[in-house]
Amino acid sequence: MISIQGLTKRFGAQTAVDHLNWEVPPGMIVGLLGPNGAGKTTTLKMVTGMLQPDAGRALICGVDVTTHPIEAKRLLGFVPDSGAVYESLTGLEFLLMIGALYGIHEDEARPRIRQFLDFFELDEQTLTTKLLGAYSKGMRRKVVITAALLHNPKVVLLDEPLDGLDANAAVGFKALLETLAREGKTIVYSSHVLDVVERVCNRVAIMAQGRLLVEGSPQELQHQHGADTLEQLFTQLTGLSGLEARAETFAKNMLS
Amino acid sequence: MSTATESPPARRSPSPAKVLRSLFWKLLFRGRAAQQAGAQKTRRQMGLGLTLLIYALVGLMPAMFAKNADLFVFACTLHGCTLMFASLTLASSAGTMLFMKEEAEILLHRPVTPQQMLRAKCAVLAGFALMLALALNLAGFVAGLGCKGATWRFIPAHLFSTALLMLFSASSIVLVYNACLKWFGRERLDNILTTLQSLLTVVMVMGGQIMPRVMQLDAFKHFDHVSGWMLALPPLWFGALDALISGTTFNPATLWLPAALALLATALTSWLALEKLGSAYGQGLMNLNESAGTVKERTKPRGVWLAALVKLPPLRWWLRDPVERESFKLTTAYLFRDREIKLRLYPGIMPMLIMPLAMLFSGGASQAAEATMMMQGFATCFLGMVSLQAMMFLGCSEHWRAAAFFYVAPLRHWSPLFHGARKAVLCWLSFPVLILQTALICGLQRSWTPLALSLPALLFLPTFSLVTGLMGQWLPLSKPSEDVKNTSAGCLMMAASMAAAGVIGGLASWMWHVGHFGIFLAVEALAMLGATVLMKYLMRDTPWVAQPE
Repeated sequence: MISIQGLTKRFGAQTAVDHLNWEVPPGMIVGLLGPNGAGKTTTLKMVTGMLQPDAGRALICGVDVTTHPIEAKRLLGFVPDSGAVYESLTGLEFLLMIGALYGIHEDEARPRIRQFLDFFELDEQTLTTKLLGAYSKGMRRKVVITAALLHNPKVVLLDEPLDGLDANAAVGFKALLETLAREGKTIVYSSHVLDVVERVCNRVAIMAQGRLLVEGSPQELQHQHGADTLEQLFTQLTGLSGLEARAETFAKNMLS
Repeated sequence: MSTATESPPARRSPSPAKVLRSLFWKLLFRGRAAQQAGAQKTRRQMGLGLTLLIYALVGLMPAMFAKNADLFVFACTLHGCTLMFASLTLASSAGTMLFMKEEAEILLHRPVTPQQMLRAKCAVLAGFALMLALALNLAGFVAGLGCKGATWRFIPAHLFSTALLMLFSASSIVLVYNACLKWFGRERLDNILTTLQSLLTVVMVMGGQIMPRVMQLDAFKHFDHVSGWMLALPPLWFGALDALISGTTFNPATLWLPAALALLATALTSWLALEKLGSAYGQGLMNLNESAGTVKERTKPRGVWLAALVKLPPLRWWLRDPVERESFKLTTAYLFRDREIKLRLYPGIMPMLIMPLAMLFSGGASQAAEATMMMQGFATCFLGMVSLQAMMFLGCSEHWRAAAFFYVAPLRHWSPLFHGARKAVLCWLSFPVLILQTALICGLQRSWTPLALSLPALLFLPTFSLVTGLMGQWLPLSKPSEDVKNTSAGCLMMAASMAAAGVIGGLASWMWHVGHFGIFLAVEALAMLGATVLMKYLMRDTPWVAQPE
């Protein structure tokens, strides 16, 4: 599970995350939503130990990320939104290297990788002969997801994981997440695509200006705030009301 | 997933440090984003072999000093050459390994510490430098045995001191970059790294010119003890180690201090680079990738001066086509703002600016005016290459995918985009370099003559800048960075341009000498006009090609 206590991050005069308190229980898929600049990615980067918080702490299964980074990092898998990889390695070389960093011996890593290959319908020859720089965006995303799950982490953090995946792979991946949650893993799913979050996640948390606004199941939150859909709830809470009317006015002006 | 367990692995896996070192060796030899595995790998390995061969050949030069030299003096000479060539080559390539922009997102959330990453990188850099150093010292190892006072112990001693020197170099370079990373924000870091790499290139080129003269100094010719300012020279520290281990005609008592300095300096720089500042490395890597850095937030809008400048004469007259104008602005923005372009371009063109200046100044004020005039003619050769080199670099960028906008825009031809970029290169690189070079020569000669002699270059630079367009469709920042390479056609164009510029420079100097400079200028202006019209005509026939896969 994830426990975030008073987490704060400032960039100069700007406060990206402001005294964030948040508990994510095990066996849950929690959607992290928020407009651009809400502090979602900064929060995830602090939880993964990539960024040092200015105040507060994040615990992964009770392990403090700041004081025991290596132990905490062993427990989590992260899919960054950039999908960055070492482009002059082949897919297999990259995955074996990542596995070795988590202490997985090559003999053990290969069958695990093969399982992911089968699941994502990746071509083995491509994985062993082509450098990652030559992969399509979707293939590269599949490799990044594999790299995040290869060591069977207890906590999985996903930042726009479906970006670049085709519809079939996306459906399969969503089913995989549900299975992982049932096995007791904690999953945080950060995305801008509200309908996917609504379908995949048991709970959602909405952030704005570095603060957590609400957290609960989508139905519960919609009911509490009198919204018909998650989209309506989102625009209502993040202060972007009247968007349809604004779009209509804009389109008319643009066409005139 | 079902078979994956959370129990500890049955077999012991390699340590993270070993995995990281193996990773960085692969990245160093393969480059960052090769498109075809096998082909790229072979090319890189051939490239390394060739580099080592060149270093081994360069190493023959200091080896010639061995005969009748004392072993200590010879070891210092070898270490001086090694420090200059191997270490500075290392310095110019270290930035890419230390500051890979996406690395934070790949590795910092894995169970490895930033210090482990830094140590692995430093080890790989030191190992790479040692390979270069060994190639450079290959002839020296054999020749050194013939020095005064030398014993067989010279070979292991020199091997040890060279390894130590490379560790010292790698640690010093990592220390400098790491200090920049710790103390400067992301935006200032970009500028500092560019300046640092450009300065290192200048030092390397100038060093090549200056070193033979330094070796002729009386202090080195009649050198029998180490004291005073000499203690500040690192090659002497490491040379003293060689001499103490393998024997010398020098008094060993005078060598203990420099030898101790070699060990102390290596230990201190390694500790400072890897331990003291190592913890800041992770934060620095994150800063490279953050949209909001630790620097003071910018409040003024960007590009205001540029937008105003292109609306004013003479740029308004020169950039009448709106597409050309926007391409000019785009290229200008990348010339001044983009870290990758700056890191590649400025160190890349620096030798072309420095080489002629170094040659011009090597004769000093005592050089005859005619000789300087000829030298100025020669210097113009290099000016012809500046725009070609710059256009080659500006055709590639890590943001090459954004060139899709050019392909979908309703443009009839690519030439306005090419001319806009070309004019930006002329405006911000070629002409300022010409002005700087001319001002320096005028100052050195205390004469206005070089000003007149720069007029031929002023006439040919715009024409020469068109040459890149003859090689086919050219769009700004439209190819992956890894495509920057000197193709045979490109090299041929460069060589031809350099030769043509040299001929023009030489002719100008001669015409000045015989008193027909005015006629020469008129003829050159007509020839350049004709060449411009011809090249633009040829370019019009190069079709607009759709975006490649």
